[in-house]
Amino acid sequence: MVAKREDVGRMNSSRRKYGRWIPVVPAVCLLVFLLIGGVYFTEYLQEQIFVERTTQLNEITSQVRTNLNNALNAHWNYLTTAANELERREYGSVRDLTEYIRELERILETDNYSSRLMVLDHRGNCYDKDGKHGIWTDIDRVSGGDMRYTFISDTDSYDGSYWAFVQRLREPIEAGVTGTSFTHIVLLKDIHTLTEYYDSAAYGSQSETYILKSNGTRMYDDISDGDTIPAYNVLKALEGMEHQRGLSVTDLREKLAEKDVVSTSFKYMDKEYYYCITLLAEYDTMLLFLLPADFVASGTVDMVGAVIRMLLILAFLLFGMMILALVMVARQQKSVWLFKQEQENLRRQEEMNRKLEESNIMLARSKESAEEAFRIAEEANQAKSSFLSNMSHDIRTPMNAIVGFAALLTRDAENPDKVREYTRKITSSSQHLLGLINDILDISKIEAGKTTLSLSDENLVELIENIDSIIRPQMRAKNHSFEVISRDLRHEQVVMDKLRLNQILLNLLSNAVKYTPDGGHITLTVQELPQHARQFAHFRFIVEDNGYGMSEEYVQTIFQAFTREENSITNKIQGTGLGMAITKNLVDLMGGNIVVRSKKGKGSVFTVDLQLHISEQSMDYGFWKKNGITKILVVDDEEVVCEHIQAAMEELGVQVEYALDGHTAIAMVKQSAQKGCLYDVVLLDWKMPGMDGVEAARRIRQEIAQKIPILILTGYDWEEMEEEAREAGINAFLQKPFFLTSFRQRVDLVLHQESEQEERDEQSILHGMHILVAEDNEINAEILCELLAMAGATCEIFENGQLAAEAFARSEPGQYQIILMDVQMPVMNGYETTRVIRNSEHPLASGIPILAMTANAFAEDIRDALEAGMNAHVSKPVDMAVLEKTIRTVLEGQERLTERRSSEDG
Amino acid sequence: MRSRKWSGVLLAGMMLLSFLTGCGEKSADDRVESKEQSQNEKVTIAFWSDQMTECYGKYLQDKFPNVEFEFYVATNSTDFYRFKKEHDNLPDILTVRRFALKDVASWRDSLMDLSDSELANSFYQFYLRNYTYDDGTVNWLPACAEIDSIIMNKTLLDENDIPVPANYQEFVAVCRKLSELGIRPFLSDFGADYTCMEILQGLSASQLTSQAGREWRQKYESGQTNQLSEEIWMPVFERMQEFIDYAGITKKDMEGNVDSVFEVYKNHQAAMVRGTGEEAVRYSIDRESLLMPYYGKTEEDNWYLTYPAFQVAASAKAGETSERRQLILDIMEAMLNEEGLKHITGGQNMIAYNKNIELEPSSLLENLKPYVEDNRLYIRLASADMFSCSKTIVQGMITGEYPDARSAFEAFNAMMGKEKENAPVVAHIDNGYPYAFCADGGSQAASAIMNTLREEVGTELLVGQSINVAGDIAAGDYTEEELGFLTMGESPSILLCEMTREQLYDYFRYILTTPGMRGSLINDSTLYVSSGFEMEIRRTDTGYELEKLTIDGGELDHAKSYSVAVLGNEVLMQKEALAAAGVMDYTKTEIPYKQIIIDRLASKGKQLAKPVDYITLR
Repeated sequence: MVAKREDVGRMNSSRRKYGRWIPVVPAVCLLVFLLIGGVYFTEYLQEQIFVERTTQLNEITSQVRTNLNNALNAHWNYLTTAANELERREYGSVRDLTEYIRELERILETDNYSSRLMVLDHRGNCYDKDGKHGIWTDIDRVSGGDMRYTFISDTDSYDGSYWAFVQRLREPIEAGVTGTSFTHIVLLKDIHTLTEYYDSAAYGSQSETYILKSNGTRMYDDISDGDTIPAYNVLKALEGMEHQRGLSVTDLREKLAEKDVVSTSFKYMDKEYYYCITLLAEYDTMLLFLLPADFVASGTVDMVGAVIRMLLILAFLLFGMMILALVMVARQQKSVWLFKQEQENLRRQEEMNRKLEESNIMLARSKESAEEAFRIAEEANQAKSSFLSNMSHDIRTPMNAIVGFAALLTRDAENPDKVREYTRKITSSSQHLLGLINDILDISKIEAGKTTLSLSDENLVELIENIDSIIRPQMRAKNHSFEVISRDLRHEQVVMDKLRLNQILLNLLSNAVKYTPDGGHITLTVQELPQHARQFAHFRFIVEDNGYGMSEEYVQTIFQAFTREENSITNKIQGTGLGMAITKNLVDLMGGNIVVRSKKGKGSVFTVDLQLHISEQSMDYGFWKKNGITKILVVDDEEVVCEHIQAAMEELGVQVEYALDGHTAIAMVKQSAQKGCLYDVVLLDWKMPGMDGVEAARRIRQEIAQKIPILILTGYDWEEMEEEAREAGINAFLQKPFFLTSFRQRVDLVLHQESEQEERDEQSILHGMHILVAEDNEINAEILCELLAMAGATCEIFENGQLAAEAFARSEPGQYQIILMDVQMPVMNGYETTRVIRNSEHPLASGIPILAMTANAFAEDIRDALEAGMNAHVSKPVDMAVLEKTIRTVLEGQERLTERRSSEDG
Repeated sequence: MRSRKWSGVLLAGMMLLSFLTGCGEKSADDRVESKEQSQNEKVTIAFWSDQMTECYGKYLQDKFPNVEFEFYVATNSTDFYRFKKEHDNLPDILTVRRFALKDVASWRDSLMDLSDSELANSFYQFYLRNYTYDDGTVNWLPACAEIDSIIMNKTLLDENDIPVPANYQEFVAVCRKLSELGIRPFLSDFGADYTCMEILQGLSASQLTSQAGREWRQKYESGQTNQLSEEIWMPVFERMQEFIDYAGITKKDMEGNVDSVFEVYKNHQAAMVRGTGEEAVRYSIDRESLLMPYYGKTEEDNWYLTYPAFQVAASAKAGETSERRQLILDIMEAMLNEEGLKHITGGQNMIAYNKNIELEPSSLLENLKPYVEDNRLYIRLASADMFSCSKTIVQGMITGEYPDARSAFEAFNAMMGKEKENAPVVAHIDNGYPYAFCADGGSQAASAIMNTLREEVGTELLVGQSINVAGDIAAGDYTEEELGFLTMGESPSILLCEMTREQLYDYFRYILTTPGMRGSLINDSTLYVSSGFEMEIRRTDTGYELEKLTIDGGELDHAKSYSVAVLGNEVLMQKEALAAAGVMDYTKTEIPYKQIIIDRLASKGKQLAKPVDYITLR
């Protein structure tokens, strides 16, 4: 809140800071507008002026062009007349001819037009009325073989420059017998007398006229000193000028092909000029008028200039007013700013007061928090003291029992009954002490944050079955009825930490067993809830009992470590007070949730919700099809169960028909046999009203000859009815609730004729084995030796890993069947020893099963063992049942692997 | 802070004002600065003849003291420049005497267009039109006109009571009379192509300037025909045939050169020679001679023959920046203005093409005035074909290969119409050498040529001027004509003599300090090249001074007489230079300089000798 206020304060401050500049923005905008607008407007006006000027120039030049063209044509007519007159006569001498030229000039009044007539002889000499004038300077220009030539001549014969109109005579004129023949008649017209045709009065004396050939070169030498362009090739010179707007010279020349006159402007020596060119193609003549920009459309330009000046004044006025306004606004802003400054100071004062008050409150709260923390610490201390006291009691109790009974054992060693009793009690106390130690280690590790999940693809059903097999004996011991209920289970193969989930459920079920009076009822419900995320399945595990229940107060603290409800009943029950804390922590670690509902004297319900990743390893959905099982019969008096099985199986493509009693079932089987579409499997519930499953099975076997697999589905112990069931023709037993995986496994077993009975009849797996044991602790080694001997196995003990590895290396293949490996040993630990053995050159180096045997029973210990190359892990102290089972699993796995390899090789 | 704010606003306002009114001009100082940048530029000028070393080159160097000129004498042919252009090695300024617009049109884009310059506008358009392409481009500008004429020894005629002829008939009669008297009536160096061409055209100038003659010429010059018109040209060959007969021209006249011709003339052994006004002055025959026109049927048909002393152009590359273009134009303006023209031959006996320039004719040209007024000045038809064909045919007429006018005419046309075959490559030069002069070593190109020449003539020592080597030598394949482009076109002699150490020192003192001769020094780029020995030369306020001559770094032997070859113009400098060193006896090689170099590379298949550092200039 405080920070927010500071932010607001800063924003206000910056707003005030920048707010002062707000009036400047329109001023800058105006200035920018004036600048851009000014530039644009000036450019626009310049463009318009250019258009106006060129248009005006074009119009005038067009007029001049017409005049000049007319004048030149008139002179040609004039010359043609003279030529006709000349050719009409005969001349006795050259003198006669020159005299006639004089006469012609008189008749044609050439003097009045500043013209003169000449004739050229075959040598190139020119003659006029006064006689011969030598070779005509321009004689080469009339030697191209054409009939007519028009150009400007700087003839040496006369001063000045002349438009020359030269016509070749149709026939040369012979003048007497001198041998002189005259080939051309020439009309020379003083160029200055033609000025009236191309000098425009509109420009006064400011314009310059360039008479050029069409290639841009001058037509005559008479160049005024004042010529702006004193070049020989005027157009080439103009090409080098800076043409700011309009067309370049090259473009102009191209335009001349389409238009009579074209104009543009250029800059030369910082002065702007306009010029207009027009081509008299007939005479290979180009006229170029050039004049300073100031004299073209000067009226328009003056007017535009006046407008620009006016606009400038307006712009400056506007700008000045804006500056004045700015000054005023700035002053006003300063006053406002001062006022706001005072307001700000007041606000800051209030803010400080408020902060002080808040600080006081915070201090008070801090004090309370500190007191609370102190109280909690005290409570924790008390709890720990209480725990230590309990622990002291709890550890001492089994220890006392062990020590006491051990003493009694010595005393009553001769009495076998006593010995058995004391041994049983010692074993019980030891187991309790072991559990106590395991729990303490577990919780300490969890609290230290060292516990990690070991995730793998597992079958949930197998886990439940495993739990069932573990807990059911405990249930039986206390005469509890135990029921496992499965609901809507769609995904059995999931990714999970099997050991930890096992631990969670066993903790809950063990508690239920312990805290339920004998003969109670306990259920484990496994339910899959609807889930939106496709990769995850939402499982709910509910452990419900009708036991002692808990007080509401205790329920609040049940998941705290070192707590245990103190009352007369529970005090008699062995427990560490850590089980629920471990459970809660493990559920949290899995990202799940655990809640407990309990009522004193009524029982408790623990609900665990977990989101487990659905395994990518799909189940063997092709199993049923592969084994030709397309239709089965389910018989159960509970229709819900039948429907559940039907729904699950039909998803796998297996048609399910069901019957709610044995009689109906028998009839359906008979009917199907008659129709020739016998059921592939019959699944019978055991306990059914009227006729139980066993009887129904017996009857079916009697009615039909085919050996179809018949399985019994029961929530009861198989042992109770196995013998009878086998006799009745039942092939296999399926534990309730119905799980697809279990069902598939049992059917698979039946189909492959592997009876469970055979399995049960087997001797201990250890029987006859010779085992290499690496164990540094003498007592442990001795106990292990005895236990193995009891199972019919022999062993050799080595006190460290190195000795064990050397012994294995020396051994004959098959000398040892398995190796039991302690982990923590001197010289070489179990992991290292395993690596040495696996890397040795012994023929069985990679194949011999090695089992870790360690007091370290955490998941990461198991992982480390497997990574070192061991096959499995059993925790110490060694439970022979667990050891046997583990060895069996390892050996079976190896067998399967061998079979698969041989089939692949085959 | 406040004042800064207001000044910002004011500045913006001023910007607005400047936008609206338009400011920002280049200051006068900037312009001055840019002009100064044009100083100390290096400019290469190729002279058409070593005669320009006499006064003209020095005039330019004095006129532009801040320009480092690099001069060399080019072979007098536009083909030489085409060759240079193909090797991207055109000089900045080109000069050539033999010129026809059609011969240079194909590589005109490599030259600077002068049409938009004031310089071009300073010429009479009457002349300038001959240099203007159809699109108005002008690359070449002419220097003043030489007057080519029949130089007649009036004293000799007077002594024999022979009147000066006024027309062709009288000219024939005079020739016959002189022959009867045992005097050669007319002599010229018919070994030279220009002599053959000019006499062929000059004798028939009136025919060639008739209406029909002019019309044919325009067709020829515009490329419409490459054949002589029978109507026009048959009479030309007939007259030439007559002339050979009555003037007594023989095969022996093809062996001499211009020096020997004027020597004979000065000795009164010949009454008439073909020559220019400039030559009359140079060979000091103006006092007793008349410059007479080529005669026609009547006096009205007499014509003088003219052609520009030389043409000037600039390479397009030389004008790539406006400053450099202006410098080049300034130099060209100086070359072609009145002062420049006067430095060609002392400004005498020439006619200016430029407006407002009057060159004072000498008394020798007294006869010329009416011809100039009547405009009876025939400009020679000077295409490369005309030069080469005229030489072959006229010499054939002299030797009798073409016994009559018809055969000569037809042979001429056949030559003109013959398609030019690609000349074969006759040599390959492995290493190219730059011409540029270096104070610590000299010019590599010049040294390579001089060392080659010394090896060929077999003397211990050789001296020649660097300008006798025509610029950079490019590595590559060469035709025979192109090998001729390595050395200057004029034919300096190779004089062979014996010289002691002291004579060598005296010789060098002369050539380093004597101005106005054909071979006088202009600047560093024109210094002499030594082969077989080294020179140590010091610059002085007035020119150059010899410090030491060494052989392989050691002093020359006082007691020894060295065999020396001297390359240069015998008559117009070297004879005097050797005399100044006390060397009166010398011989000349039979094979000319240019041919020795061609033979070495083509016939002998050898490479140029390696250049050496031959000079230390302090």
